[in-house]
Amino acid sequence: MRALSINSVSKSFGPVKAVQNTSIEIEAGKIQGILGPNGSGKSTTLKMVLGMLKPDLGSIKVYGVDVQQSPIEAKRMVGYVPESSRLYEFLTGVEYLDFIGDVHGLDVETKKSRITEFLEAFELEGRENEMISGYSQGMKQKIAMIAAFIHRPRLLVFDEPLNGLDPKAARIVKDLIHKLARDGVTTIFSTHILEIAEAICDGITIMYEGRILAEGTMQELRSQAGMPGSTLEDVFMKVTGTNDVRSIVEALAR
Amino acid sequence: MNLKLVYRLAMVLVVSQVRATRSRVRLKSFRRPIAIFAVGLIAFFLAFIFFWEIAPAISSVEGGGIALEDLTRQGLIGLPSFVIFFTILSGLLWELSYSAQFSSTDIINALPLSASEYVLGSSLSVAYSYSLIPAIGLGATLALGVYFHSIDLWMMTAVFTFMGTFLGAFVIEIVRAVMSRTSSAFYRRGGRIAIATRLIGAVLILLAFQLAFNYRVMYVLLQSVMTGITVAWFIPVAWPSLAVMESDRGNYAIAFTLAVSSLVFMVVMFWLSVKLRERYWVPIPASIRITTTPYSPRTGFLGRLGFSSAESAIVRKDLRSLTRRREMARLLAIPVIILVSMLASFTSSGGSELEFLAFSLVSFSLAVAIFSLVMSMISIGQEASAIWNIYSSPIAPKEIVKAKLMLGFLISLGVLLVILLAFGLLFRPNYQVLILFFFLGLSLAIVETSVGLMIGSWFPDFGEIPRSRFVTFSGGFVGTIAGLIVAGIVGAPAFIYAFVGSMFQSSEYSLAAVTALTILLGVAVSIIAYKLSVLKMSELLKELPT
Repeated sequence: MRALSINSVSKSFGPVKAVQNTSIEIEAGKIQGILGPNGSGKSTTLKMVLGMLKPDLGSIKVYGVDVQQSPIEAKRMVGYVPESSRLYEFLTGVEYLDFIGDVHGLDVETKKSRITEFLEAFELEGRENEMISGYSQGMKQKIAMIAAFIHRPRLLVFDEPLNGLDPKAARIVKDLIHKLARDGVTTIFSTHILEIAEAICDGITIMYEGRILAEGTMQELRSQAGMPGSTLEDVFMKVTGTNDVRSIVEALAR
Repeated sequence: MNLKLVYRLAMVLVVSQVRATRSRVRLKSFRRPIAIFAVGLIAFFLAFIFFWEIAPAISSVEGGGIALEDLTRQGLIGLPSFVIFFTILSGLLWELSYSAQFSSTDIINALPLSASEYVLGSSLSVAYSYSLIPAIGLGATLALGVYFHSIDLWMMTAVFTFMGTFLGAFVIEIVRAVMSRTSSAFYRRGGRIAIATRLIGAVLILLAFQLAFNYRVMYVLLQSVMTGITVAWFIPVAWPSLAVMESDRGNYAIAFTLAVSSLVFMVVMFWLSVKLRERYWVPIPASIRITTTPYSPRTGFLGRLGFSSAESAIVRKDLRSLTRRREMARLLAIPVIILVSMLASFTSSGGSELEFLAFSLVSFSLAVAIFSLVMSMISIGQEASAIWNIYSSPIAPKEIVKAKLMLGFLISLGVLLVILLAFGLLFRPNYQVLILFFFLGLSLAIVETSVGLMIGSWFPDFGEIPRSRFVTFSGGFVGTIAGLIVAGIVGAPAFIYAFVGSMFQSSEYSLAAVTALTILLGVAVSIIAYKLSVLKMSELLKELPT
């Protein structure tokens, strides 16, 4: 079953063409990574998946539901963590999660058991009654992550999900994504950490200046780049034409 | 002190503010700091031309010349004190809204900038931003001053008006530091009682500063303890105006003393604001524990009333926002400031019973109307950069509108009951007046909340830097006008009943009719505003503001 269909989507902000004629198809239960340098259109694409931005052209369907036609229905199926997750700082961690649970219409018992379970897993118990404004960046990211998982979404949309997480929490997230994938939950996420993408993704999309440059499994990407046996970092550098790092470093060090 | 750095900082603050508040203005020139100067200059000349043209016409009417000359003197004398009052009031309402989160992580805290440079730069930006009103005042008084050969007096007024703007800006810096200190102190204690105490403390601080720099209120207070003495001499904010007055009377020695005292007072305010800034520069974000009780969700009161879980969740969240965010305390102070200032002014002027009723009705209506309007006008923009939470959640526009309306109305109702209780205990009016006030207040609360929400979803301002305004400048302007118009419409039957009716010995029957008509008008306007709010909210939710 197709979990996500991004069909020929384009999006501009004034003269800046953020995303140009992009199409991505993801089957249910797969983990898709989107890679690309800063400003390549990754976050814009993910925001369009959620209906937070309206494509100028093209359409997006989540499990067959058109995001533009039925945004509420689509959002019910999605769990989202933005790049810089500004939460409601005046709420406590547990109040924020309670809010998200209510917004998704969870009943009292389900909400309580899931919140308690996740707080414990992410080692936030004991801090849950403190206001978010006093949390560290990593703790805020953990709360945002729990909020994305709490309603058991069918599609996870993560923009740089492991930003600020400690190694244990990062491991929990990676394992959880894997576990959920086995249960049929689909994940699409952007990241700059190529090792993570290489380790957990079933498919990888490389974007550059709003366009898709390469797409496929690790094997397919290596063969497309003509670099068998190389790492994702080498493939990425070659595909995006950013492999002149040494000369830049030398120039800067002068 | 590096004055070049002060100027650069002031310009950065002005640019941020201009770009944040005028982001929708298409003409790029209006998004530059020079636009404030240009608008001020145009306003100055327009005011000058207007008064220059009408002065001869008024003077040609019998007695008009004397009246106008008298008015000119009052204007020239009163302008400096008015500007101080205006800057402080505007500052309290709009300049204290820098969120605690940003004030602790602001990059400015990491720059090699002294407290005095920061205070001067920030004050310069405030004075520059609020230059429009002084410009209009100076343009008008210059025309009249030239017409009545009082140009020397005008020059003195101009100097003191300029000083007054800075004095007001320094006071704002003091309030900012005091608020920051109070917040930290209460926050460290944690718990719900500390949150409530902090909120009441913040409202009282705002009220105290507002009253301390309100010339009329201070006059009334001092007059009650100092009979037989010119009490105005003991009110520093009145010194600039008194200096102009004494100069006009030819008492140059006194005028000089008052002028020097004004200058010294301004320097003291600057010194105090620098010292407070030095001491409470960076508010440390404390870990605030609200409760120690384990998490135990319940179906709330609103759920039992038929509200969806999402709607109830938004109401709860916004209520917490209102009581826990430092930048929201100023909004809760609005009705208190309006009522206390107006009643103090009325008490100082005296008047008949009918005048008292008229004045109470206007003060009461204004307090309820402005509070309800402002509370709902800011309800969308206050989501600020956390607005993505709403955009990414499965919440329908109608649900948001219903939730925001419900909270706005509930809080307005609470404020209405408190004001009514205070009014009843203080002035002991008859029951007819209380019934009239209650239903008028209720209708105003409903209608202004609806109109405010419509404006809030039409002109939201999600920006937080340099200051959170929650509603755009144009939105604030349109909202105020719309709010006053609908208050006039809804309040019309009550006003007619109170004044025309009392002359004709109104009956209980007419009281019931007036009440019904007030409610009917309130409901009609509210329905229209509600429909428009849903429409605007649907448009707003189509795309995350970039």
